[in-house]
Amino acid sequence: MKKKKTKQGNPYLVPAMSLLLAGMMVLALVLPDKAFSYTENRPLAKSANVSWQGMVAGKSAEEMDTWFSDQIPGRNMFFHMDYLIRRACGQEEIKDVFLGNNALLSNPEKENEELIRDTLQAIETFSEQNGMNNYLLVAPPAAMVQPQKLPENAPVRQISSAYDAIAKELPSVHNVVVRDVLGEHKDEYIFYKTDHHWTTLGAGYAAWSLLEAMDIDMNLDDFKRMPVSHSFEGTLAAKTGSVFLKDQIDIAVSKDTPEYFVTWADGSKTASIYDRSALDTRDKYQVFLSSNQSKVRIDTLSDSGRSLLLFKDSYANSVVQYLLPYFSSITIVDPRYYYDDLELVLGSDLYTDCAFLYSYDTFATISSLKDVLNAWNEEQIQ
Amino acid sequence: MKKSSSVWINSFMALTLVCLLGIFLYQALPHTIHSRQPFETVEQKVTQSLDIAVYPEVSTSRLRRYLDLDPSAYANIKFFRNGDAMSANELCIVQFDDAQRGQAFEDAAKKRIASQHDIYAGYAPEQSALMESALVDVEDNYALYYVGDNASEMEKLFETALKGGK
Amino acid sequence: MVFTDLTFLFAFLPIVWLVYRFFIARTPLANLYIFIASMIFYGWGGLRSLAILLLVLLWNYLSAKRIAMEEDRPRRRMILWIALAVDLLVLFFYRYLGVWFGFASNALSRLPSLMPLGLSFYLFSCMSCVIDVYRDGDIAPHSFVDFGVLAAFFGHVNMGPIVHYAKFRNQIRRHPLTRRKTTQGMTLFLQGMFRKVILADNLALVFAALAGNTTWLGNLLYGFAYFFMLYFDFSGYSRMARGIGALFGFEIPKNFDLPYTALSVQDFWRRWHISLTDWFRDYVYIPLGGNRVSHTRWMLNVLCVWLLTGLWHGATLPFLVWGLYQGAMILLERSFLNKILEKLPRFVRHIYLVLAQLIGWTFFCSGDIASAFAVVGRYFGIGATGAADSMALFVFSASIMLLIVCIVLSSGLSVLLGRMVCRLSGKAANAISTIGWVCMFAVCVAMLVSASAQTFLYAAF
Repeated sequence: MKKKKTKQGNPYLVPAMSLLLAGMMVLALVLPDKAFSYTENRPLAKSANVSWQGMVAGKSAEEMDTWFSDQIPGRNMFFHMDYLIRRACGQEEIKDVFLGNNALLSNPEKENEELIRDTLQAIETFSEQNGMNNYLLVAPPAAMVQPQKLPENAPVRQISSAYDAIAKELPSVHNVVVRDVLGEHKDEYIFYKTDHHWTTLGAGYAAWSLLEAMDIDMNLDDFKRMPVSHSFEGTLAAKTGSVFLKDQIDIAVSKDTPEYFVTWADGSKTASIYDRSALDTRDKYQVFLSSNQSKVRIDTLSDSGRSLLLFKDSYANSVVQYLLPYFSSITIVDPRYYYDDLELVLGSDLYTDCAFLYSYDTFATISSLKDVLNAWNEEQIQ
Repeated sequence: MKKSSSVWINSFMALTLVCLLGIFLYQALPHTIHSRQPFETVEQKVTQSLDIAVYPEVSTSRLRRYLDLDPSAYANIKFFRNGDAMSANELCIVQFDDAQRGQAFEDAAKKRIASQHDIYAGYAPEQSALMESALVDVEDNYALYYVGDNASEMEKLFETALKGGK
Repeated sequence: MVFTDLTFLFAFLPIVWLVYRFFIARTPLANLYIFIASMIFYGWGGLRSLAILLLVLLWNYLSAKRIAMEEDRPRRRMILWIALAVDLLVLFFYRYLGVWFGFASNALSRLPSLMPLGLSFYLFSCMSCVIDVYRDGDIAPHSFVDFGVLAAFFGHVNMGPIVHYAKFRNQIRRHPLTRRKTTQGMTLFLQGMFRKVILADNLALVFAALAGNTTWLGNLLYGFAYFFMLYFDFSGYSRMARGIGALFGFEIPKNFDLPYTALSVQDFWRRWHISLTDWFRDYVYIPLGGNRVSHTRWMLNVLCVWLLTGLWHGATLPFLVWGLYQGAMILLERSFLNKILEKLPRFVRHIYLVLAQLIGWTFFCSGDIASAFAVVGRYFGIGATGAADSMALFVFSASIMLLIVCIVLSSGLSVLLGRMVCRLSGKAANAISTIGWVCMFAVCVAMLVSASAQTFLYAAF
């Protein structure tokens, strides 16, 4: 890429570059700071902590660099430009996300074997003592279910054996196999193209599997899927800066869905599990059960007589809408945010069923479920 | 003239050398305490002045709710905090073998202080102020994180306990 | 601060350079201005590091002045040895003490992480001054500011090129700005950015992806990724340094001269990191007697220089082995290999050099000797778990374009291509060239924004 200059040298280069560098600097100073990046879905640094201690070690300067870099004019444009250039040059993986056939697929996480064993043990101990019917459903990652969407030769992390280890039958817990059901429908729109979650259709297949294990008859066709957004760009888009890929979010409603009310973590009550305001933000998936809810309780007018206690990560958020007709109450606990004593939940109601609904990535790497269950388990021993 | 300027230069060179050696000594010598005291002794000395109602012991399996630490990575770890969300008071003592664990503890404690401070900043100014005076003391094989009254007293108490004093 | 920081590109550089260009360049304050700017640049990384830099500069400046005013020969030599001993002590303290004796205490093992950035580079520039002044007292630096600019100019303080005092000192007094220099400077800076951000940083991703791969193709790609990454990272940064120097009127000599077109290891070292090899030649090899001694002594001289070169790069065994390997190859060539090589066609000699350095760099980048041998073995199929696996094929197909550009650039073909494009563009050559460079710069910024850029590899030295 060396271009030879004429004898006097290129008279335009220095003025052009000076204008560019100085111009960007002026823009950076003049334009107001942004607090949040819509494209990257993360907060942006708005200031730097300057202290003597920080200057001696160089930490203050690091913070100033981050602040300047976060507030660079045209940051989003540059981010997308990087994605397009890499794609054009034949790169098919960015930051552990595969750029597949009209879809982005996340590389599954490396399993923490000891953590999986300990979590399964915690679930087993909990299930032995809680007096309910217990079910475990761990959703396989998209890369495992839809390998046809991956780029050729994609070096996907092999997690089959770890996944199968989770599916081993525990004495007190019924393992719900969902991999095969999803596999049968792998050519359908069951995972989002730009997000690591499954779509409402994918969640429907999972809900059907879970209810079948609970001896509850559910016909997926009874649920009508209605689109609420056509412009969803999820976590994988935020990670890679992808362009031209958008997802559709549906909500699933059945004529059998009873009336219900929801009590959220802060005590407020609403008549819908959907958070419509999320559709105006970047992370539209939060329309399902909002976000960062430590505990949500749904009381329905269903006469099933069954009540469900659900431990989950964000995958279950889009499954809950299918469960409403079949339980008179659903209590949802997200161990990542739940800091109180589990006894408060267990002691406040009689539950007939307890389900653990997780994605493989969270189950294999995050310890919050194990920690919350063990805290309760240990208190029972005392 | 030349002799006097050479004397000046010699003196400045000597001064520069002393400064350099000073920096080296400061950076090469350890200024953290390596304690031979057993964990139980240190723990007992540190907690004897505290009100057990304010600082009851919390099971380590629940530690992760508060501090982003893996309890199994530490030779010994104890955490004290009551369940009241409005109370900022908490205490954590750890014993460890390698410097990385100490650094991880310091990072986790600082993260906790920052997030607790932000949480309280909106509606609980006293608790927020308590977080501002929080103590993180990382020595060679022991570390302490303390939020409560008289943090400077606690620091002295901790260091005395490590040295084996009363 | 490093050249690929956005704070440097869009805050420090435009302000410092434009103010210099329009207000300071022709005034007597020029060097003072550059010195202060350099201290701000360096101090950005921490005041602690700045303190050490200033003390080292002061020590060497005073030593040079003291040597210059001392007429008594034995005393001159004594001051020289004391000056160099302290410099080497500083180097030893930060680079080797912690690595070799870190087991003794936690504080010692933490020392390498406290090493000031660019220590090896600016220390060697300082030592060059002291030794040159010893050899000719008339050329002592005029003022501390002049000396500071020479050794710690922000263009070369972090990562070289190492300054050869006697050759550079005239420029300190007079470094006028001309349009030719500024245009050349900007071009060099942009060329360097291209090499560092677009080539080296992406090669680093290939290198990281294939670490631990045990197939033949995977290892070969891994080796060549490092082979090119080191070259473009370092030559890119050197080019940026020369470019910035030219923007302030300094003509910094080339640090790389198409090293991968060399036909022997000896020739390679006349083209790679020229400032370092020149330094070792002028201040170690020649004082030891060079080749004007007995054959055995000469061989020892060569090995000694290369052992020290390896040591300069790193404190652990693989670096020492790498250094001795280079020395051994040069001895082999001088003894009998050259006679054989001269009879072979250029193409074969070229492959010989590429293979020799591929093996050398494998030791350079390996954490330990055993894994280095394992990787080298797999280049030749020994111990490989097959010709290729999906990871190797995946990475290969994603990096074909990158590798082609690397080969074109490192072979010098790019110069011919550039001339061809220029001729084809005719009168519009300058405009097209400018547009090209601006677009390339935008791509670099895009890549810097989207990823935490790989820090310059030689920054550990």
